[in-house]
Amino acid sequence: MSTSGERRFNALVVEDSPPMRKMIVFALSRVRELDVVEADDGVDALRRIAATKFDIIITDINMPILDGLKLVKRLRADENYKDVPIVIITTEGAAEDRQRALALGANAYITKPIQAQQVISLVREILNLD
Amino acid sequence: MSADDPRQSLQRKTDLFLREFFEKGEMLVKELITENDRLRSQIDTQEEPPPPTKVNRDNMVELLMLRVAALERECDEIRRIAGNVEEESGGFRSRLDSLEYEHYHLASMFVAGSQFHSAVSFDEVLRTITEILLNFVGIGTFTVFMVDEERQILFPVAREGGSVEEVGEIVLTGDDAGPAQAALLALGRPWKNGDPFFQIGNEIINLPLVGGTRLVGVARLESFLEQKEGFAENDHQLLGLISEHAGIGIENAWVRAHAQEVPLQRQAIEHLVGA
Repeated sequence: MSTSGERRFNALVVEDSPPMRKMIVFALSRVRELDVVEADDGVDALRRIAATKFDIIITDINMPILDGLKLVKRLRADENYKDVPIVIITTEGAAEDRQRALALGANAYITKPIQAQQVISLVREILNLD
Repeated sequence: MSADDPRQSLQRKTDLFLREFFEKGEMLVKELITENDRLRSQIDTQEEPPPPTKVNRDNMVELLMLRVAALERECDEIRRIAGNVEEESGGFRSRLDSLEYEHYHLASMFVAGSQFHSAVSFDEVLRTITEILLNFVGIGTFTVFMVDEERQILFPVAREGGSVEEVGEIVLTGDDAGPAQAALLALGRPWKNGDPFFQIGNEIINLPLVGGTRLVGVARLESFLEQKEGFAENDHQLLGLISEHAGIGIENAWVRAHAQEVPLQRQAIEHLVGA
């Protein structure tokens, strides 16, 4: 909770790989305006979304049960999430998945292996943080 | 009048008091005059500012030019100071970036290490190796081999970027084994930066996976992800961590897979800790 009255943002990180998820959360912890919530996969993400309104969602594409593409599609069909920024995590080689995600309404992407500064800069830019 | 007449005594005391009072007053006035003279002489010795030039039609341009020149000098000085501040803040920025990078690297080492130590099955260890190599180091194609100590071979168990069926066994000893295999067996400790890459063919490195001094497997790194050009310094530390901790993870999973499940018992635990 901010003590200075600055605006807080809720971020959701959806990633089935625990080390990858931990590293993204760690990187985002450097953005002091953010409160970060983790989800193990697309289904877990939908549960979290039902409980909290997020300002930005960062999701992997390849996940079991409900993958990142289906999650993007579900979010864009939801009135509460049709305009919320979505960043997808992908590999450089997965150009087709990336294009599909962007066509479904994702706003941006980051490629693996991820760099902390890349994630931080992108999120700050999307949320218009100084 | 007698000497002890009270009226005379009072008069004497009054005279004495008044004399002392005026003497002290005189001394104070003298000190004030001295101090006043000293200050006056100080003021006189100070340089007097030039009298302001009276502005008229003839000297107006000249005076303005002088003022402009003075302002330009001031401006240059401000620019110089601002430049120094910028230079200093650039240094701090660069240092901050460097610290952030180091911070992130240490976090990745911590996460990778904790993943290996929390793995309880062979699958979990393999998955962790895959995730670290793919997502942290940026290796696109690699194969994980395990050691068959009886047959003295390496056999493939997992592959990223291709099918494991495409990969054959690698002999560790005998006439068909090369110097790389002999060096892998002889290492007897985890790989660290500066060690050889144990190349057999055109792979990047055959990374030994070691449990203590025992070679339990090899991660053969074949190619980087598209956006990755080569190893960074921090990658070598991650490879060292995989070499050491994945090997221990594999051994633990192996022992766990072959151990008989027994309930935890105080007496048995106390015996183990020597109580």
